[in-house]
Amino acid sequence: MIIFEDVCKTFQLERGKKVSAVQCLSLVVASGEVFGCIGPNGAGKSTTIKLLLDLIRPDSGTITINSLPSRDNASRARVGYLPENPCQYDFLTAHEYLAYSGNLSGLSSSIIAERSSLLLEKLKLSQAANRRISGYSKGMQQRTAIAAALIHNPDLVVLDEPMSGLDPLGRKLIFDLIAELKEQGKTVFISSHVLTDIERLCDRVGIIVQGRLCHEGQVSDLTMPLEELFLQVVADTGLDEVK
Amino acid sequence: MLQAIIKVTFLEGLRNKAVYGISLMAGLMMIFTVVLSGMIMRDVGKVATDFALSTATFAALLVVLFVGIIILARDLERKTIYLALSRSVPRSNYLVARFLGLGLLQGFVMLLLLVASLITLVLVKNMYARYFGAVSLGLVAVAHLFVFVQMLLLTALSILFSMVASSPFVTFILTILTWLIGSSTQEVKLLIESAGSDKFFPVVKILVTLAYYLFPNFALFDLKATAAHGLTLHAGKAGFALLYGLGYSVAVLSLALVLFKRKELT
Repeated sequence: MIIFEDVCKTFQLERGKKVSAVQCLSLVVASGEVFGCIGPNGAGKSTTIKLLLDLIRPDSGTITINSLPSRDNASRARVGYLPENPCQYDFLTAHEYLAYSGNLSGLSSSIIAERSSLLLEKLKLSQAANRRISGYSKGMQQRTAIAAALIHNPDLVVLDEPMSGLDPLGRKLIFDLIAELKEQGKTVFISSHVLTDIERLCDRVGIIVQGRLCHEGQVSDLTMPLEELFLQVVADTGLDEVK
Repeated sequence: MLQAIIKVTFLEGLRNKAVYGISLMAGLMMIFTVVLSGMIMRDVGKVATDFALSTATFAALLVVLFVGIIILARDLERKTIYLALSRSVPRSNYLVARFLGLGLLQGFVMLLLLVASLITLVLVKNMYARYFGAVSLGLVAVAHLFVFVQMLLLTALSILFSMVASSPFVTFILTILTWLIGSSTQEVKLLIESAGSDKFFPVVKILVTLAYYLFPNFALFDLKATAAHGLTLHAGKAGFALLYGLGYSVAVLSLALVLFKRKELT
């Protein structure tokens, strides 16, 4: 379970200016739930994820993962993370990269081999697994990053724009993979601009605009298409881009 | 998990084209040392040792500047660091493992440079045995160890600078400046002390003394003259230099850890 309690984050810009990236965010994502986080560019989605993973620290408020504070390294032992526009060690092959990722979680060689084959097969990367990542297309790199995030069979999967850079075939693969994670009862936190996928995959959705959680609710309770609701919520905040 | 990060760092260095370029340059310099030895009339051994050790130091310095700094900067810039830190890897372990990986790479490069230096000096000795002098090959090997410790210290400093610098270029400049100042303060301090008190402005003396105590004393690791002349290396002096280098590295790395733990990885 993930709990954000009154989390605020402000970034210092040049010449003493400040920008409030996340404002008093309170949110609960239950275990086994697939939560979709959507919002315009720069709304604070990635910042929320980085706060969750302790890559950046909140100015105030608390974040817990399965009852452990996010500042505690142990809270992330069973977390898999796909960053936005992921970059891998491109001097490694996919096999080597997955082995590195597995070793970071303390997996044994046999489990790494087993999980690597499974994930590479699922993500249609088996043929290229012994080639250096530097020679991969953007979509292949994205799929390799997803495989690395899932190598240790995490209980909580955090995906920041998982469909970015993927062709329709790649999107289908990732869509099916997330659906499988949902079936397995994993907790999934997805940030995405592809609203149709969010609508089809998620149990609950949150709309963040200018650092504020402006709407939160069950997808099954939606009375209008998600895209329409999204545009309405953003317009209600008075964001110039949508007006 | 530490081993995984050390291994990846070592592989990253090894698969970096800059390492091949630096190795090629070092190889050519060693060949030049053999050629140069044929053009001088006396102290052939001394000149060849001086050249071989200078080449090894320069090559090792380039590895720190063009491989070590780039590896760390790229990790932060391209966010490859996220994979490890989004797991339960403590930041302190990550940075220490990165340092050890760079140390392993530096050690490997130093081993290659030592082999190249010894081959060069044995060749020169066989070609010009009568003019070779009292060069000690054992001390040449020890001198390489000292260069290695010196580069470990410089690597630790570059890690510290990368925690505060806004770009890899700034880290590069700070590292090279520290190297230049740290290599010359002892000599400058001795010069000022040996000259009469009226030769220099008091402010110059204060600045030099300040730099001497503020910057690491890299001259401690310079064994070129000792090896070239086959002089005795006192165990106490050598032990002090090694402890100084390792202790300084640990202190600098500890400071870098404090900064890294507070760093926002946006």
